[in-house]
Amino acid sequence: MRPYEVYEILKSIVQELGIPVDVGSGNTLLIVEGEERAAKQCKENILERWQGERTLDNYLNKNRIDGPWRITHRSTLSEINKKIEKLAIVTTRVLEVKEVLQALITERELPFKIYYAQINVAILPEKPSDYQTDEMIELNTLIQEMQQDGRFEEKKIDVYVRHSGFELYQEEDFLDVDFALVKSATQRLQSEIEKYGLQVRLLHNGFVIVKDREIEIHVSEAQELAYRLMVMTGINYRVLSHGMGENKDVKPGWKTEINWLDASLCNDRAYPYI
Amino acid sequence: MTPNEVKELLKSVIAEQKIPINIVDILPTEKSDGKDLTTETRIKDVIHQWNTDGKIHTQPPGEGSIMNFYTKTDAQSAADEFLGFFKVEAFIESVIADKQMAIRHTDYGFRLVTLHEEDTSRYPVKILHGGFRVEKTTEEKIETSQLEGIANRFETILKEKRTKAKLFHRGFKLEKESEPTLPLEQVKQITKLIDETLNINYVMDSYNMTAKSKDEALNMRDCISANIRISTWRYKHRHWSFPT
Repeated sequence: MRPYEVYEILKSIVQELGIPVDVGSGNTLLIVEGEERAAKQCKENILERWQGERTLDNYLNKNRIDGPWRITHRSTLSEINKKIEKLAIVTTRVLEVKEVLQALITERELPFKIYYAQINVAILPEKPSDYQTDEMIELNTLIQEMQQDGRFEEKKIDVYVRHSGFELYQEEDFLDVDFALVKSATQRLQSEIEKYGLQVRLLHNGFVIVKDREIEIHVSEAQELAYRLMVMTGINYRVLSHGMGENKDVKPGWKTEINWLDASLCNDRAYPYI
Repeated sequence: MTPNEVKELLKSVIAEQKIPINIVDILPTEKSDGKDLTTETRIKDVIHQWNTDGKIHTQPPGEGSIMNFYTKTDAQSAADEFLGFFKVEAFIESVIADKQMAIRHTDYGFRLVTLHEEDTSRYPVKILHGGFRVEKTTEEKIETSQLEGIANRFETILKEKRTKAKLFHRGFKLEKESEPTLPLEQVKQITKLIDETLNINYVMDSYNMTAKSKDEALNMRDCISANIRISTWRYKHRHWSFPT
């Protein structure tokens, strides 16, 4: 079974259960393992051959990723897989953690509404060579050619191409879903695809708190909530970012620290993908 | 007991003993500059020690068997860092005066974490919002025995109420009084003296500096301000030394 087939099954389950989310078709992951400098060089060579000089330039100099791919030489495949398994365990606690966060917000009488920051459905294949998109096959072919040309011979380098899974999102709003339904959807997906040697892992990576009205509250209140949540649950939440929403809604003289609209409380260090 | 009730208990014990101390809340906006990872690690350590029945999700800070000995913060005594604070602050003041260091210090106050033994919820560990600092209301000298009296009474009542609690002191910020920079050597000297004299393992855990590059930072001998705190390790990790 290939990623696009799993994608179609997931989409139909989501639709059937009436979960109001869009499903992203996922990214191609390129993981290069080896001695730091050699692995970095190899990663850049592959990227240049695969996506062209301009893409490499954007990636290196502007930190920009032009398309549905991610690339790393700093995390190994086994580290990524370990992170997926760990985060999947933490994800089983999401509903309780959300209740704790709600209790903290209520205790402080803060006008915040809670949304989900990021929900992913990761697929772990028993035989990765059977679970590939066309793009992944092309990339693997390219890597094999480069290996045959002797480009990776100088140092021991291992290269892996994987699929990042599927993201659940809401196009024009913060992610607000019944998480129990999302869990049911992934359980159904699991029962449909496990016969193909595919394992499903549901990954949740934090919350977004959004002010429900225009009000001046310093972002340190959100940071304090994240800190208390971290101490109480043992999950490493922190405020990863805060923003003022769309430019058109920002009034002159507003300061991000006080007039912020939303703040992401994420367990980002546990997130497996690059 | 909730963290707020524990804080109120401390206030009432102080009032009962008629000690000239105020408990002042610290708002999140007043937080110190820089991350306070040392205290965060110690909080995780204490929660891990409290979690004898494995009821809550905790991870031991650090790794390896050596950490079992070195890292453990005293999880039994709720108020030992309350007592330690008065000793350390007085000591810092005396060292600065003796050595004419022209350094001023700012207290970062306390974090308070609680665990009520009868709390049957999945997350019985609670933490006080923001924290608090203690402020003397007069210049009158407070005797150690008076403070010990407060600590004992406070801990006795907590035990009766079946509440585990721990006050974590978050250390001090040191800055030069008149000049813009502070020699790192002076900061290290102060922490060394606190360790040797009071047997409280203090460290300089972070500092602000003016360096613009990594290379410049490596050669810096001065900082704008430095944060000194109780180390993650309860006792100093003294390395083996071999004759050369």
